[in-house]
Amino acid sequence: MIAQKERVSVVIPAHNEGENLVDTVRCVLENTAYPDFEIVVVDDASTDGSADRVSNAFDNIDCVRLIRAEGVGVAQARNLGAACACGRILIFLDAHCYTPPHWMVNLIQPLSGTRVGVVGPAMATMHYSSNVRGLGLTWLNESLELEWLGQRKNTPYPVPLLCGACQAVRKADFDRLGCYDAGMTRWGSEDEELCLRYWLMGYEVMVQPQAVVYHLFRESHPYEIQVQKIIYNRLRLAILHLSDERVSRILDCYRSARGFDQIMGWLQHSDLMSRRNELQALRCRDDDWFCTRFDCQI
Amino acid sequence: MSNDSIKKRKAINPEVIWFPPSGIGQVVAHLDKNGAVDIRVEDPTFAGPPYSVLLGLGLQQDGPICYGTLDSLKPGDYFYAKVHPWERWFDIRLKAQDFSNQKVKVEFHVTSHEFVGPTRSPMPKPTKSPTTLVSIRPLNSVNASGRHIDEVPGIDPKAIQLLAKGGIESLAALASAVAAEVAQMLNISEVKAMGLIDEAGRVLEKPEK
Repeated sequence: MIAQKERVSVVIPAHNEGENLVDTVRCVLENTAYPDFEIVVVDDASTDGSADRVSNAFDNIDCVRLIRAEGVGVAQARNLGAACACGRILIFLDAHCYTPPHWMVNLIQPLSGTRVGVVGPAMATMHYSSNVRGLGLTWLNESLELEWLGQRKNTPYPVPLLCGACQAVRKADFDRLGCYDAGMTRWGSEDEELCLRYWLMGYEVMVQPQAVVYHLFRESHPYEIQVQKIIYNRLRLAILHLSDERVSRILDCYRSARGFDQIMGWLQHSDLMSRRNELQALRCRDDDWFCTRFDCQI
Repeated sequence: MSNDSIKKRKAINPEVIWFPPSGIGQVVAHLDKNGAVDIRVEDPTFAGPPYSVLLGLGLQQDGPICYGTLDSLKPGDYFYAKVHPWERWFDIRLKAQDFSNQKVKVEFHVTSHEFVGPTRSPMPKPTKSPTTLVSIRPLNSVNASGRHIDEVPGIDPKAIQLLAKGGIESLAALASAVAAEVAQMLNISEVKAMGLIDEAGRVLEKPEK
């Protein structure tokens, strides 16, 4: 059991989330029956006044803190929040989520296992009033497109990947394993990379069916999304962790994408190869193990 | 299903029907002389993981999971169609030769068995819709006994007003509502709307005295 005296830090990165940000913070405050937790909002250069609304709404609430970043992207925003967090357990939560009562206690319970590195809840969508749930993710094919997994049992169990909308980790492990990859650009794949890295470093990634978090899946985003940057993140993940043969197949999937040459240029000028060598020297499992373990078709 | 094949099918049978398949949807489809009709199922509000659609011409049992075209379907058959994660639509050709040149009622049920699709990466814009012959809003209301209220278009605005006055039926309507619609109606955020829906559901779980 996780001792309920362990402080939990809920890190919420946000960029132009409008009213959803204040309501997400309020929801966490009202629906979390846990004795010691804090909320660290990391505003990443919002221009819609949402950060100021958080500051005004929770000015008198000691356990809510606001940190301002300068457009660093979701991975670095989460890392910044983690660095400022006081808790021994971190929960990274998107700024457009609804957390029902008892979500936190159920979510962090599996972290009592020493080999458990990342825990995620059953993800529900706000768009449909049904019992539709996604419990973990896997890769559909060599393009690294994702597919949600259905529920297999009612108790925590291992899954290949977890959605970054809500991920819980122990801060000590998170710091030791290197946080979210700082080389990822604005948005995309940073959550998959974290989970894969935890698996390859010998940890387990688990889904907790008894914890449900509702996520707003949006038709459009309140920020610009560049397809090239998303592809960049995917290719970075692949080159960091996967075998040459798999990387070759994945590159073939994107070779005809617009801006592919530019993307390869960005990768070439990054710390990609040194980071790849470093990670592959440290890991105790390889991608063959991962793909066999989860029957992953990449 | 490529756009070229859709165009070909339109040339054969131009009746293509669009509607958002949330909850239960019904449409009357006119089968051609070959007992076939093209149906395109699209949800323009769709923004996240797709879902399974249970589609049938009548009753009963589960069918196979399939993509795209189902070439033969007899009355009483149901099948699941998994929406492609990058599209918000899929095409189905229903064929029931016993019903050639007849109108049949097609009932769509959204099931909760599948939950597929990524959370990230941009969603492509849907292709321009062919001629819409029928537009049906989803059925998304239940009455207190848990049965679906037939063909209630969208959220009943009265349900929101009734909520303030209390009453099990208004809560029931809210509990099965969609956060995005409630948010728009009440001019609140989706997170806050989700809280109302969750609260309504929890109230309904308590037995009436």
